[in-house]
Amino acid sequence: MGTMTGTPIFNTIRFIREARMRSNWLVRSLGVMIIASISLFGCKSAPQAELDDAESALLAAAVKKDCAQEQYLAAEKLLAEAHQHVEDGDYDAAERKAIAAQRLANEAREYAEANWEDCQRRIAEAQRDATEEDSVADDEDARGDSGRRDDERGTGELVTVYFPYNSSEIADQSREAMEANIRWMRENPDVRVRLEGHTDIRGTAEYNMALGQRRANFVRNYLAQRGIERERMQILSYGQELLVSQGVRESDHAQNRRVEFVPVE
Amino acid sequence: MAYDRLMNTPWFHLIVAFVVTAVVGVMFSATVVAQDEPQLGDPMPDEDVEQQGIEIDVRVGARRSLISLAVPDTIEQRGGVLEEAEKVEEILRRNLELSGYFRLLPEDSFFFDTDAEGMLVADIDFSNWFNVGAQGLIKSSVARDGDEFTLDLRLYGVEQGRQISVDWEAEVVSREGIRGQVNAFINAVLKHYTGEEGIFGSRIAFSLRGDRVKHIYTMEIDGSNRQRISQHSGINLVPTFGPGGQVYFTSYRDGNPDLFVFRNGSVQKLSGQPGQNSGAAYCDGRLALTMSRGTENTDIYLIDPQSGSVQQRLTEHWAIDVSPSWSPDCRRIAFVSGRSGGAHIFTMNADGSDQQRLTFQGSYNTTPDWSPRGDRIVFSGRDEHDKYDVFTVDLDGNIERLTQDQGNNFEPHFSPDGRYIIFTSDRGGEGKRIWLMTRDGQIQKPLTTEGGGYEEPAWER
Repeated sequence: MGTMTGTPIFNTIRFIREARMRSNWLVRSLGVMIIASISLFGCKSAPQAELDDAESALLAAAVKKDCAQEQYLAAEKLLAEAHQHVEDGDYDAAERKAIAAQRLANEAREYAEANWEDCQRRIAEAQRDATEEDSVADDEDARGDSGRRDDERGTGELVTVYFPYNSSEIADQSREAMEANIRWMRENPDVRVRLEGHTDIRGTAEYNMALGQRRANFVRNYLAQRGIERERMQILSYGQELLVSQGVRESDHAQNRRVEFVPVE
Repeated sequence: MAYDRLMNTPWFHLIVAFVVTAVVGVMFSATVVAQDEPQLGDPMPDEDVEQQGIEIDVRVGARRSLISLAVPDTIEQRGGVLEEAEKVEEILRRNLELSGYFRLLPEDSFFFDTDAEGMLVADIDFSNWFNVGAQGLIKSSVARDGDEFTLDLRLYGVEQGRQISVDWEAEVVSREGIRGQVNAFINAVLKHYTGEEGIFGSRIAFSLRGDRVKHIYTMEIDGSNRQRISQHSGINLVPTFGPGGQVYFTSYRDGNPDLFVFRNGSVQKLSGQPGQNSGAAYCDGRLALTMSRGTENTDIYLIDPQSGSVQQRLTEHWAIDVSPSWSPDCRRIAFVSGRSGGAHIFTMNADGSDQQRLTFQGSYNTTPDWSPRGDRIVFSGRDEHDKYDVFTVDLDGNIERLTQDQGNNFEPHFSPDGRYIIFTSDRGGEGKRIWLMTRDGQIQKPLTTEGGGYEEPAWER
């Protein structure tokens, strides 16, 4: 058999590699120069491009801002701060804030688009409720945004309750919400509810379906102990299948670990 | 050379940079230095996440040695078969690569005219193939007569300079039959080199998550023949295979997570007990299932595979019991239980007796799948850094880690021969996709390369 070295292909590879080694120092020095001059210009003038980008991202998100209000407001605030930094002459900080504002505005828009239908329904319900006169003040501080309202009979609203990680007992912060729901159940004795248990995305489908069911059951037992008739409460677990927050931060997970109260006919 | 070295020191770049910036009259900032300094080590790990996960590192073993294969372009014999020839070479290259046993030599390393070389021993210059480093050479051609195609597929041993006979025979096929022929040939090549048939042509099922919709699909292991199984446009999940191509899955079609079966081309409800009906596991006429039956909690049951009626309750515990998986002899069942705190893998006899805990490390071990070889159970576990990874455990409780530092890895499932494992992974940041790895974890390759939302893969066996 013939020799395996010295084939054209190997020679080409070797040539390219050597050429790259020779030119390496030049490329790297050039890179440093470019970076130096960029940071130099960055110090000299306001980051107009970044500010413009942030502005247009906010504009694009504005039509959907009701469905991602927190992020939108935060983005708006960041951009205002960026402008303030420009006035103060701190262009670096202005650039950072402008970029962050743009990112957040984009996130707000994407989030709003992903949750559009749900959100529109909630807004419509909220508007309908706003036209009705009585609203119970103590329910205002109850946590959660996905509680659904019973527009016919309700004097308050049913609110979602939340759970710690891998736990089927409600989080302490949700005790208030539970009390609000108990009041609602007492004030609307003819209404039945479905307790829908959910988990966060971490973990696996079957186990989380079982966990969601345990959460719903915990709520049912809790309410039953407080005198609400068991028969008025159905149980359904969705496990990790219906997330309200798609992110992977702990705040997203915490929003997903929940039991929703859904009135049924 | 001394000059070269000087030019390659960071100081040299700093000096150049300094001069440039000084000329413009501004001090250069610390960011300039940072651009040219190497990163010192990886970022520090998160401090003190709860130390409850599994602490095992991936084995640092000798790497599997791969067989070098040359697969030159498929020859178009007659009848205008450009498209078919391209399809044949593409299937050959992708699936041989996917099998994890071969290294395919890049075609641009073939320094001689491969198109001019024929199919037969006498046509082939083996010294050329030896010089590019090939151990095996696969020659292929397609011929066409009307709507019928004939493939010629041959494996040659380069060092021996002769054809190696493999357990495959050419058949006349339609255009749709070409993939099956090529895959059968690849399986025969794998049998020659490894002593066991390949996996091509086998099917997997999985679910695909959309916006408030999740559907069940099946496809062949190489991604071909994708077919949707679920009809209800809502949540459908956890598909598994039954005998004769049946697919079980759970659907919220009727407002409750009921068990459905796809058989004889249609979907029927098999178990609609109130609460959870999921994770059907079939073995020799018996069907194990996770159910809550309107109670507070899930347990493992046996149900009639035809009627769906409950035959026997296998676990009875206040904690969560889910996800049954049979041993290959149908005598024991692995499952997940929350009875010892957290979630752990347990085993029991097929009648529910002799329930034993198998995993003692970590605090969240789920989705067990018993190897068809019987010796190990694969599962996904949460490690000490809150990452999910794939592990196997033998029947004495010894754990091996198969994935590490590659995103989160879930829901592993063995191939029919036990040599491979499919799983989902969110590595790459594009959502969950299906991956294939060898049972030792050494070779890992993506099966789905577009989109995300792939979940709960199961391999037909």
